[in-house]
Amino acid sequence: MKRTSLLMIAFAAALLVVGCGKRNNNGGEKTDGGITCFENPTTHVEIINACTTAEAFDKIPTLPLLLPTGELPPLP
Amino acid sequence: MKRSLALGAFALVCALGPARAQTQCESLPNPVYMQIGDTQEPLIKQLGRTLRDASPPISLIYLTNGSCDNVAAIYADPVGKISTTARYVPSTTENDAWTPSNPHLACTVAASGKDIEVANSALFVSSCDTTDHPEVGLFQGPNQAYVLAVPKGSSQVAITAEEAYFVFGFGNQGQVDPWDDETHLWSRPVTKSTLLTWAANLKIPKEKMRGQQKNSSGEVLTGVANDPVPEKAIGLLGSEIYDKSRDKNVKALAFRAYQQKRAYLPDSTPTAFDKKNVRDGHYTVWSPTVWLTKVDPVTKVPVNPRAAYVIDLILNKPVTPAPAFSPLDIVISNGLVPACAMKVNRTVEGGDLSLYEPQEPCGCYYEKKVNSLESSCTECTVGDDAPCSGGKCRLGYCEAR
Repeated sequence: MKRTSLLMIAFAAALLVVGCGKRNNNGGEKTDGGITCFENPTTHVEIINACTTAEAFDKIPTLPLLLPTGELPPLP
Repeated sequence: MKRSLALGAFALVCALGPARAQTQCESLPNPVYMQIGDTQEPLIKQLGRTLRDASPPISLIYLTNGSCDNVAAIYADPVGKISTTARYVPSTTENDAWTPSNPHLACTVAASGKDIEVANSALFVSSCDTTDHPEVGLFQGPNQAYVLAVPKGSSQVAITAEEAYFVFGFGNQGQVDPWDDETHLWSRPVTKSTLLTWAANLKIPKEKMRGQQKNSSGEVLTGVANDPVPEKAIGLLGSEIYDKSRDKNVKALAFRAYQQKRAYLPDSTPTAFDKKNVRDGHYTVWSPTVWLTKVDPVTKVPVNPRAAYVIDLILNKPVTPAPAFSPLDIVISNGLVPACAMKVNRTVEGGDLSLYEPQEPCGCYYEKKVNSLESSCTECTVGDDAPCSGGKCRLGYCEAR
């Protein structure tokens, strides 16, 4: 019983290690400082969010007219 | 009394001096008549100077107008004419001190006018006219980025597509601080590539773009630079104009496109000229320059060999006689990105980007010219088109193919 418990704890710990940290899945996503970028982009969204050494600027704009769904309203 | 009037008139004539006859455009050697977007004037002035000094010389005689007006003019039947005072640049013999940063000269076109031989659109022609014209060839050239510029005294450094949608789509009612006053939005008319490209990228119908519509890029530049409320000022500019004006009181905002996580400038840093982010897709607001000329409807060969020669120079195609200068260098030095240096492509204005591998890449040469050579670029001395390290030697660098 004790040995089984130890094995289960060890297995759970191994799963935890694999699940955390930087991942490299099929899209080549990389997480750096909370921002995901793509190392091997293929689609439009991946291209514009590809990893780069260029200077990037972060901004959280205030948009009072944005719809509750996050969509843009129609133009007047 | 009569004698007094005569003496006065005589004095006036003496004060004004003899009338200076303006140059007749037709007297210039080997003219090519062009109608171009004003964002392309820096390129045409520099190329024009070089061609005036070439052997044999060619004179680029041009007017500036909106891209869609230019397309309409060459699509028209009969083709549009240049029938007023046109612009040209002097040869070194005429003025060795002149540089492309100096004003153009003016020449007089014959009263009967001259057919437009080359028209320029600084965006996809389909944004202006989707009708089929087999008698006009569309030759896609280097790409130009478009920026949103603010005064250097503005605290703003970036803008998102969503913000710009509200700023330019809602104007005074947009509630996007600090750009909430249309009197400080410096914009262009709906026939100009600068407005049309931004409208397409922001998903705003062109006729709904708000702001003070200024006929020329120069007026937008002046308006932004001299705006009495710098924090609220923002204007639309082509990068060819912006790059020549970095010593003026304007700076480009980094732009975050729809679905993008971070904002980027066209260049890798605010002081670079490398257009890194245009080349690899991080900066999405760019359009191709397109050069139009009459062609044989069947063979698609231009009917005007001299016009074809000029277009091929801009497109960096082989020409005969080979020029004694590098047309590619002229394109690059004016802030345009030749297709051979691009890593992404699109087929419609503001459309999705896709990966692109040019048939004859020049990325390393481009990077060398803009002082941002990547470490992966290796020089080759085996001569152009010779194999090297799994690729091909092009312009002194081993490219992928």
